[in-house]
Amino acid sequence: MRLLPLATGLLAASTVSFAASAADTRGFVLDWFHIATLSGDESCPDGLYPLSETFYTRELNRLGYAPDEIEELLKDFPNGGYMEPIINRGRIDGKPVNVYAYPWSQPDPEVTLVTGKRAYGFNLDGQVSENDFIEPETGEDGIDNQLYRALGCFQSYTGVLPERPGLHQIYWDIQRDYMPAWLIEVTGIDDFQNDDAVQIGFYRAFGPVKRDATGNVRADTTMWVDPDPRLQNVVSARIENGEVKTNGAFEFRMLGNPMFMAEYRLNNAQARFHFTEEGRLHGVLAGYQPWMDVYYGNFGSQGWATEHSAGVDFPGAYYALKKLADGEPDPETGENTAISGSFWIEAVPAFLMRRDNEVAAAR
Amino acid sequence: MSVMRTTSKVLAAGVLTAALAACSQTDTSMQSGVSEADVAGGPVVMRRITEGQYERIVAQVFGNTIELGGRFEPDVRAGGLLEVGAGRVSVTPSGFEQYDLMARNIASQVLEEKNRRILLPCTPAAADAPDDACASEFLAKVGRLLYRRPLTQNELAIQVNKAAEATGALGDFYDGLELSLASMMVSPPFLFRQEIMEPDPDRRGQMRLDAYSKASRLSFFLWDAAPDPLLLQAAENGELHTKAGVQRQVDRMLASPRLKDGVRAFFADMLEFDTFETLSKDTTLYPKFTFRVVEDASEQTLRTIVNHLLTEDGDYRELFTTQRTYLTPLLGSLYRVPVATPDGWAEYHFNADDGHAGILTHLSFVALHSHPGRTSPTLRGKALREILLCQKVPDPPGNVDFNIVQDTANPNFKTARQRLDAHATEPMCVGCHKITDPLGLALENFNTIGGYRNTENGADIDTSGELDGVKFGDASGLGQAVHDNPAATSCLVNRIYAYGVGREATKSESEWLKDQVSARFQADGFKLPRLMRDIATSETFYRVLPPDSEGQMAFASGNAPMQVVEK
Repeated sequence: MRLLPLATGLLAASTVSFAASAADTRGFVLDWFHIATLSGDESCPDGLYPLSETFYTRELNRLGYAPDEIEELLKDFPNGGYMEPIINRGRIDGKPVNVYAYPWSQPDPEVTLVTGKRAYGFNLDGQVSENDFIEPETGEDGIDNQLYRALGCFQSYTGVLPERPGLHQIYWDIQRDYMPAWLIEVTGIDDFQNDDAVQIGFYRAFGPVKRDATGNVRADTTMWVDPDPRLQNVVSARIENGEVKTNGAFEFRMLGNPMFMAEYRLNNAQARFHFTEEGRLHGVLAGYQPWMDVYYGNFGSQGWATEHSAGVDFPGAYYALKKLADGEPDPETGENTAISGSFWIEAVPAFLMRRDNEVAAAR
Repeated sequence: MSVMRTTSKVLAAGVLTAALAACSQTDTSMQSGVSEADVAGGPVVMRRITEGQYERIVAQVFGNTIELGGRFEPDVRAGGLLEVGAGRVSVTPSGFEQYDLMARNIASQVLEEKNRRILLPCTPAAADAPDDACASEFLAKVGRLLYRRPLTQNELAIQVNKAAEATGALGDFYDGLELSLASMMVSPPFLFRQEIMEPDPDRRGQMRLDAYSKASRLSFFLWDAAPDPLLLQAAENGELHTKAGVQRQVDRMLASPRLKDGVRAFFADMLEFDTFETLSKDTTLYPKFTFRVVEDASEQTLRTIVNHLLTEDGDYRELFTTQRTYLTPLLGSLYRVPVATPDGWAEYHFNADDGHAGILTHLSFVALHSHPGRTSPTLRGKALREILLCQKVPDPPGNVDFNIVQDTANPNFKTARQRLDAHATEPMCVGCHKITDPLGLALENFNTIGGYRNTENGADIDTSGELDGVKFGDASGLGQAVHDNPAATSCLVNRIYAYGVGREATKSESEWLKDQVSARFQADGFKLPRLMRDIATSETFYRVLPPDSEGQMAFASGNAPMQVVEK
């Protein structure tokens, strides 16, 4: 068996010059992946959605508990007797059901939505409409990012780079130790500033990331590319003023961690990245994903333990995602099945290797 | 005040003179030739067995499933080697507690039901009563392996009696035997390598090691382990007192895969890999450095050495130039190179572009001889001189001012070379820095965890240097200069001989090593196995000074105790 190194990585991150030799390649392993939020005073001008103790009080009241009963149930919050009625606050045929499995079994609490004008992402549908945002980095109008609008006013979804939204940061930090790492490869680079023909590959590795002494993903490790054809996202791209941009829309498919998002399915996707002076790769990946995937991956599968600690009203998130879904209408009902969203990606240099019986080792 | 200033100047001048004298000192002790017949031998040494040897003996005697369950006393380095230091240490009360704990733990495992069927050669007549015959059979068998010689009748009787007494008190034969075994494992004949001398029948008035001491010296030298049954048998039947017999055993041992253990142990000792245990790096500055790196770093170099010197039967000097090594993915991340294995080890050839060549550019050298947050050309140069060239570099004076070299943020001195140049303007520093820094500065392309760099604080790094008049431009040039320097090979010869005999070579031994052994080493193409064979089959290696000789008494009075047995 022969081995083919796909990327040579960066020899010396401290002296990155990005002077490309013929058809240069850069490999990366994902350090962080999270919803691209852009929180500020203007994003949720009426304030953030209240934390769980507050909306649990509201829900218990809705369920008919008297004020003194509610006080008793919540007196030991976050522990105490409120858990059972809160978890089973849904009703189907008048019977209590787990609200996280059946989020539609309770009324829409109408969570606070982002009303700000700016958000990261792309104009995915090519149109500029009332619900769209303006891109803070590119200034482009018509940005489709309803995922941010749906979740951005939950306290644990606030964040402005370099601060990451807390809940998604925790999700990713937990799952990346137990899922094969995600890899990015930029190939065919002739000029790191301007190159009209490069390729971006999104792959999955055979094993998880390796950590360094600070808990971050270790740079310059050797990662093995999983050849599973379902996970070969190779798209044409270009480099403009040092920024790598995909050409047109593509389908992004990547397996995640079954405990959270089992699979990421982004249609009509676009991406852009830039190389940092430290040799990292930062950028945005956006597209339309089934909003039910978002709900069950992030909320339905997590239940009370995450809802109460993160302060995210899960059934409220369900209704928000459903209401704000803006893509891929069901041909029969006409209801949108996908929601536009943007993800912030931070990756560190890596050597990407793949098994190949045909090709001699590049070194 | 003026008196103090004057006194200080005088003292400073004196220190400077002494430092320069020391730094410019050349070894003039090895100028005359000597043949092996002229070598008187050296004093015998009683060495405490090392942690690795203890582990290996236990695995050898009882199997590798036995857990030790204790910790060892720290070893002491002398003459550049722990093996020499092992002849200068004793056992402290707390160390004895640990040995006792381990001995009881091991004995308990050996005699537990599942193991006794394999390890006990007999079954007692009754499980709740003493059985001297069975106890004697077991204790004589394991005692021979643990003591590296047969137990004397008196020793065996004492151990059998201990087992019987304990069985009587505890009402269990195996518990009694367990206590007797544990007591053997805290006794000096086990914990110390006692070398016993006897009159040499071929050299009237002279002494030699007895056959079992020869076997031990040979076995620990080549395998870092106690003699195996075949070697003990060779000792028992007198084979080790014949040249042909020694050669036969040496050749057998050199052909064994266990030679690798011995070579690894020697180089781990010589290269001071024990200091990895206390190595730390500033992980805020260097987050790639984790405890796993420490394990892998020493292993990388040992694998490189074993492959080059044993598998490939390569020239020792090429260790300083070879681009061939072994890496884990973890090490690859520090060297910033791809490693073609998902886990474990893979062979790797550094490219010329990688900047790495030879073991001097391994993490095990550049990281081990650096500070937690910055490199140290001085420490690296000092280590190279002392460890690999056997040249003593004096310690810095107590009142040296390190401010300039420690201030890596000073915009006037961006590189280590600039800082050291400024520091070395101090008269008391310049002498020694001249002999260390030109070597260490050649390694400045490697940061404190071994990562490659071209600049420091934005300034280009100048890696030019000089070793004993040979100029070079970078680390690979330094490696070539060490490769070509006769001190590198003579150092190895002296170190490995000292490692084998447990003490530094005497004057006549040194002359023999220089005139005879080093010459043959060179003629043999600097092949380590041939050097080891040359030493192990020599008579000098086993020759000892008579107990009343000047050298023996001088050594004994300041060093380890000795044991003399007249037969």
